[in-house]
Order: sequence, then C-alpha cells, then structure tokens
Amino acid sequence: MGQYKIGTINYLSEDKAVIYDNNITTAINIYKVDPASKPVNDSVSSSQTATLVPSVDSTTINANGQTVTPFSQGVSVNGVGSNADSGKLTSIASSTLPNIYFNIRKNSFDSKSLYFRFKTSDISSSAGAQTNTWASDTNILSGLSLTGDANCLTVTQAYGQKFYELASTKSIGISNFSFNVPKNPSYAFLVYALANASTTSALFSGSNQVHKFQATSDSGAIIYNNSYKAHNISTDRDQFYSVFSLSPLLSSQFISEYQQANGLDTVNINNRYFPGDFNIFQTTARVITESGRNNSNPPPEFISNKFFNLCNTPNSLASPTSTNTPFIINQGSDIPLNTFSLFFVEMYSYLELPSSNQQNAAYNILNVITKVNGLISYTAKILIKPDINYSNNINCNISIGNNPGSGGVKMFLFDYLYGTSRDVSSMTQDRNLILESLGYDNRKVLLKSSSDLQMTNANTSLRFPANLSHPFLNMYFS
Amino acid sequence: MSTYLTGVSLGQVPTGFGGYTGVIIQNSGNFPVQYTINISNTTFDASVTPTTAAGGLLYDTIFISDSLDYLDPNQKQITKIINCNQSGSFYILHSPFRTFNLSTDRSQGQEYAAVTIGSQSNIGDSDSNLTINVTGNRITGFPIPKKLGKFYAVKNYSKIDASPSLVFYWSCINNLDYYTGFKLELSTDSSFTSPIINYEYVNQNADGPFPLYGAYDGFKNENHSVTKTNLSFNQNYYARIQAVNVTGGTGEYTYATGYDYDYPILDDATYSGNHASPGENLKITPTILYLNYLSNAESDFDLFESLYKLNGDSADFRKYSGINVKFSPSDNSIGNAIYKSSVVSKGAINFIPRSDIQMAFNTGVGGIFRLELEFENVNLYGYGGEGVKVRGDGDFSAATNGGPIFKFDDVKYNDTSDSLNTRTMQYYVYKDLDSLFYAGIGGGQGLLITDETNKGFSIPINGSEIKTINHINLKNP
Repeated sequence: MGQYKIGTINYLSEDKAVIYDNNITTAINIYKVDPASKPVNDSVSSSQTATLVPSVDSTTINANGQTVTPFSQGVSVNGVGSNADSGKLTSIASSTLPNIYFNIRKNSFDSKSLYFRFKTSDISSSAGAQTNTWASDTNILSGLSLTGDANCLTVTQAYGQKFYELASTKSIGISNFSFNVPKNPSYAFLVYALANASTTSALFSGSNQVHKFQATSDSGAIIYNNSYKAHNISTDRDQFYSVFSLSPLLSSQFISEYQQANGLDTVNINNRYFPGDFNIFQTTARVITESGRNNSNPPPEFISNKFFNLCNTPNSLASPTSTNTPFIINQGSDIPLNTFSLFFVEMYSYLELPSSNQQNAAYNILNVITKVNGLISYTAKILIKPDINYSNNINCNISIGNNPGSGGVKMFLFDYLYGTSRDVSSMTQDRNLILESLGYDNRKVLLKSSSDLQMTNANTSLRFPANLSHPFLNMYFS
Repeated sequence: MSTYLTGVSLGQVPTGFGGYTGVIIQNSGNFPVQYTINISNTTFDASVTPTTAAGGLLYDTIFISDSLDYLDPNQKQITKIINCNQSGSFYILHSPFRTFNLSTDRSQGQEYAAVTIGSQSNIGDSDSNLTINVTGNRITGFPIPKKLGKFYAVKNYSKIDASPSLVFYWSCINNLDYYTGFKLELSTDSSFTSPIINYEYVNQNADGPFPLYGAYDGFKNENHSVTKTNLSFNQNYYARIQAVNVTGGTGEYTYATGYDYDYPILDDATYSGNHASPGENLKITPTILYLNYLSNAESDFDLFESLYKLNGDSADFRKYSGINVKFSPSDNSIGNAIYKSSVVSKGAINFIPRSDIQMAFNTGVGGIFRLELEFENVNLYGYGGEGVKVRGDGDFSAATNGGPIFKFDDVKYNDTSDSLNTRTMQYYVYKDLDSLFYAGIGGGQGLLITDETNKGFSIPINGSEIKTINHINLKNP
C-alpha cells in the first residue's frame, strides 16, 4: 500500500496507529510519497507548507528529506463523520458505578546489594525543621553524611510524605569518600523533584545542576568530571554534558597517564571508523590524542519537564472538573506550587568487551547511561585499557546541588542510593526492582494522595487526566 | 534377700482414684533366686461393709502386677527369677471400685492387704518371707482437678451453615490429676458474666481393669477437643476452661489462645495454661482470599467466572472480607503479557456476577468487601473502536467508541444474618510501573478525497482503527 502524507496526518493506509491532533476541516493537498524514500524525520507531516507543494510540471520535490510526487493537483480531502470517543477506565453493567480506587502496587527490594542509601522516609522531624545533614541509612552504611551550609535542608511534607527541600544555590555532599566495593556493574538512583511557585517551562537551564559525582585518581587528579560547566562544543569534552552521571569504576590503575592528566574522553563508539579498525579510529580520528576531538557525541537531549508535569493533576478527584489545583507542600504553612515534577534518575555503568571484529582494540568499553523517568537521557561509551587491574578502592566526591538558574526553582530530595550487582543481567533485574520499589515508596507524591486514589464513584467516572499524569503511571483512559 | 525393711511408707497413693507404687527386689547373693510374691485379700475396717459398699463390688481393691501394661486385679501371685547382683520389680496398685457408682453407699475408711515375698535360690537355699503391709485410707472426697494446659482455639469456617466455628483443644499437663469432666465457657464479654456456652464435657471411662476416671498416673497427657459451630463473624469471644470432679469441684481456670490455623506452635503461656484472664479475644474476622493468576494472554477476562471456579463452583464468599488477585506473566517477562478486550462492550478485565447465581460475601475494615487486583508486568488494552466507513459522498457509517479497560459491576448483597445492612463491594486496582493500562481509542474520522478538477472522481478513505494509543490520543477525550 502506498503511504500518504495528508496535512498534519501521517496516514499509513494500513490499520495501524494513526496519530492525529485535530480533525481535518479544510481541503488539503495530497501527495504520494515514494516508498523507497525515507524521511529524515518521520514527523515530516508538520513540515508541509505551500513551498513544498510541487508544481504541475515538476516530477518530484524533496520535502524534509523525503521524495514527494504530486498525486493529483486540485484534489481536496474532506473529513467524513467524527472521531469516536476513547474508552473509559470502566464501564458498568448496572445503573451505578462501583467505587474504584487506585494505587501503586507494593514493591520492595533487598538492600544487601546497596553500598549506601540516603532516604527521607525515616525523617522524624516536623515539617519546617531545618538541618544541614542528610545521613545515610545506618542499616546499610553508617557514618556517611552529605552535608552543606547551615539550614540548607528543610523538612517538607506533602500528602503525609516527608522529604527535604534543598535551598536555592546550595549543595550537599562529601569529599574524598572512599569506596571499597565491587564497581562493575554499578548503579545509582536519585529521586528528586523540581518545582516552582509560578509557571515555568524550563526547570533546567544547563547540565549538571543536580548531581555531581567526581571520581579522583590516587594522585588526586580528577579523572571523570561531570561538574557544571557552560558547554562549548568546540572545546569542551562530552563528559560535561551529563546532568547526572556515575562512573565509579574508573581508577588510576586502568587509565593512561595522559588521561589521568587531561581527563578521560568519551567518544562516539558508533563512529564509522570504529568498527572497522580500532587502531585507525584511534589514529585518524585522534579521539584520545592531544589534538582534540572531532567525533564527539551529540549533546544529550535534556528531557523537559513539560511531559512529566504532575502539577495540573486535580488535587481532589471527588469532583470531576477540569479545575486544576497546585501541588501543596507543607513546611509549617501550606505552600502551593504550580509546577511540580518528580524525577526518578537512574545512573548505571558496566564494562563491555570489544566485539569480535575489534580484536585489536586497545580498550574495553565502559558504558555510562542515565535514564530519567525510564527514558534514556544520556549515554556515553568510555574507552578503558583492557589490562585492567581491578581495584575496589577509589576516592570520590559526591555533590547534590540546586543551581536553579532563573525563576526561583525549588528542589526536593527524596532518595539517593548506590549499589552493585553480580553481573549486567542481574543488574537489569535489580534496577527494575529498585525502580518499582522507589515508585511505591513515593506513591503519595506520585499520586498526590495520602491514600488510595478514588477513580470512580456512584455517579461518574472521575476524570483522571492521563496526559497530565506522571509517565510512570502508564495509564491512559478518558 | 539380705536387706529387710519394715514400716516404710511407699509414698502417697491417691486412694479412691487409683494409684500405684513400685517395689524393687535386689538379689545381692551369689546365685539366682526365685521370688514368689503373693497378696492377701483386701480387708476393710469396721465402718465398711464390703458386701454392700459400691454395690457389692468393693473387694480386693489392693492388688499386684508385674507391669503397668496389663493389669489384672484378680492376680494373686507373681513369680520372678532374678540373677545374682540384679534386680526386679513389681507394682502394688489400688483400684477402689470395679464399676463406678455414685450411690450413697460409697465406702469410706481404711483398707488393708499384705504382700508376702518368698525366696529360694537355685541351689535350694530359702530365706524367710518378707511381708509388706499395705494400708490405704479410702476416699472421703474427690481431689480438686489441677489446672489444664494447651488450651487454644482454631478459627474455622463451615460453608454448610455459612458460619464460623471454633475448635477448642486442651490437655492435662500435670501428674496425678484426676477429674470427671470439663467446664468450657464461651462468652462474648471478657468478664464471663453471661457465657453463651456453659459446657459440661464428661470423660467417660468404664474400662473394668482400670480404676475409674483415668490411668494410674491420672490423666496427664490426655488431649481433648470440641468444636463449637454456628458462631458469628466479628463478634468478641473469650473462652476459659476448668476440669471438674464428680462432685462438682472445679480446678483453676485456663484462658484460651486463638489461632487461625491447625497445628499451631504454642507459646509458653498457652502451653502452660498461664494466660491471664480473659485470654485472647477469639473474634473471627473474615479474611482476604489471596490468589495468583499467571497468564501471558487473555481476551475479555471473566474474573467472576475465574473466582467462581477457584471457590469450588461457588459464589459464596462469606468467609472472606475481600479477594486479592495478583496478575502476572506466566513467563516472568516484562511487556509480553497482554490482556485485551475483543469487543467494545467488554473490558480487558470483567467482573459481572452471573444473574443466576447470588453472590454472597462478607465485609472487613470500612464495612466493604475489597476486590483487589494487582498487576505486575501486565498490559491491559481496551477495545479499539472502528473508524468511519466511507462508501461515498454522504454515505458512511459512524465511527465507534473505544472500549474500557475494566468492566465492573456495582455489586451489593444483603445477608440474612445482616439484613439491615447492604454489603458493598469496592474495587482496588494496584499496578506496578511496568504494567500498562490503555483504554481503547475511538475510531477515527473518515476521509473523502475528491478531484475538484474532474468531479466524479473520489477516493473514500475509511477512518482509522487504533490499535495502540498514547497520551496524545487522549488529550481531548
């Protein structure tokens, strides 16, 4: 079957998904797309403009990288009938709806694989109390604390759940903290929220305003640094792009002297030179030479909060109206926040051996991956000398900071943990279980409810605006 | 025999209920010896008239036996051969009656018998006889029973009468404890002011060779149980028990512990019967029924039918205050399990009780029956509506709506025992982050393509049928 681009619709003429934003109300032109031609961007439909309409005489044009031929000029397309309604959460057989409640399924994980964990579920202080110390869970590792300026942490409460607000422009952290655990593979989770009393569309203005993890060599030189820095694509290393990153595997025992002195580069492992001949890749691309780099990863696409906005979910579903209420936190007096976004940041790294056609590779690959709310926001592949002398000791600095930029962004801390797994396969399972558990632990904030969320009552299906809900809920109905 | 003792008390024997004491013979000589033990007839003091006492069955109440395994009150002689430097034993026992009788001529007073032990070695030497005079004081009253132990109740449910029950267990844990029955009290108040059950349970024992009401060591280690049915849910119950003797004398109370399962491991207080008054509240609360459902693919899943079959083809859930069903993939995968609806009138999960079967259930906290559905790594898809069918200009079939994720009935129930209250079911849906809940999207608008330069040429394009959706689809539902 042919593929057609119709106005703002991508119509596949198959019985597959069709995504549309609105009804067709006016006659539009229609063009046949060469099936051998692949669009640069599959959402080519939005690029349709008058300038892309081919003339009668022309045979083809190239629209947004896709070859388009005129199917017929003067052809109009008119909508017939109306879109039908989406399904609801439930329908009923009787005259009244039953009461239906919703919550996150209970989950927990074994913390024995963790090295440390900072959590807020055990806060005993009252809302409004201030401190400068976030102490680790003593059941896992005692005596570890992230500290900052006086009163930089304020106990905050929302829907019965307590957590910390980190004051603006402040940070908490620890320096020269020594790890002595297996580090491959390893993972860290940071659960935090950003909010603003007034509407804002950009809660992040730059990278690494939240989490900084620095590993230092034995000599004290920084070997991996994701500290905040205004990025200059021509001069800066990719490592600075990571808003959140974790690479505790690195140590002076298995990186070159040059790398120790100059910082470790990240490279595009998918570079066309790389699979063919690793040595050529090294020499021609000069990725790890003193001459700079020209094969950088593209800057990570930062995930906007606009898709993860919890703020407009009605606070109370007892009344199925479209009235939005802000997120209410309590610090002694209720503070409404028009925006409130909860982020589950998942950082993990694992070593990967070169593939079979890279037998000459002088390096193994360390994958460093960051996911935000389940979506990959950053990946890097770091080359590591293969003759590794694994060491379980490494000094590091940890810093969690609130650099709000403009707009007075508030930052809230919920959970921060670090762990290791037996192997990559088990790490995948461990991470999934931990993420599920963190979702359950923070269900009250996730659902904006201190109890099970009522979704229907006797009269109506209470509207749960799925498009405004947290992506973790994965629930869509009208 | 080289040692002769006289005037030795053989220990207290609780006459009237039977008792025994052992006698050890030590052969300290250099050759084997044959010992012949004889016992006289029992004689009674002047206050007793054996021919009339105990219905004429009062005779030879003191007797001997070679062992405790087999007792013959008519046995008059025992012969034992004991090698040198070895010992042997026999028992002197007391059996007050041959048949129990509570008649007024129950005997009192002293009774006597003489046990004579003769000896002859295998080389022909014989020694003079040793005589043991046995004296007993006949009963003048029954002993007070001792405190019972291991008293607990197991909560149960009878589907036949649709009511809960309590199965009580208790044991005699003390030596030389004698009783003729038990008094079990079951009360709805902790002070036992008006117990609803004031139960007498008599332990019958008419076995002739044994003394009445127990073995020679009393009733130690004897276990008893009784079941009380037709009780009520959510009712406070307290129970205590005491052993009683034949004249109504009662022992110390023992207060009950409650368990939800058979063969519990008893704590120390329960084992020893030392729970303080009033013991544990034995209230029987309807419980949640937990079920697992493993499947990777379902279509129009009928939850009612599934629960009906799992409950033994019964819709009687009055034992339960709720049901928890955990749905998960049969292969423990993520993303593979898809439960979907095939028609718009049904959901991916349906709970509609059958019209021909009355569903009965109980309630728990909040006065409702909880139907809890937990989803782990399961995708629920509602039915996707069909798009507009375009046949020509102005000739089309309208698009149809998408279907729901769930189809739940509003289930209510009036139980005969609870006629004033309508019992209501509520639904609780719990999902993990990996599970997806997608309602069916409505069918899309159709299109009609018309060549404006050459009228009559038109292409109908049917509306879309949506198989998958995301939040964009539901922006303006």
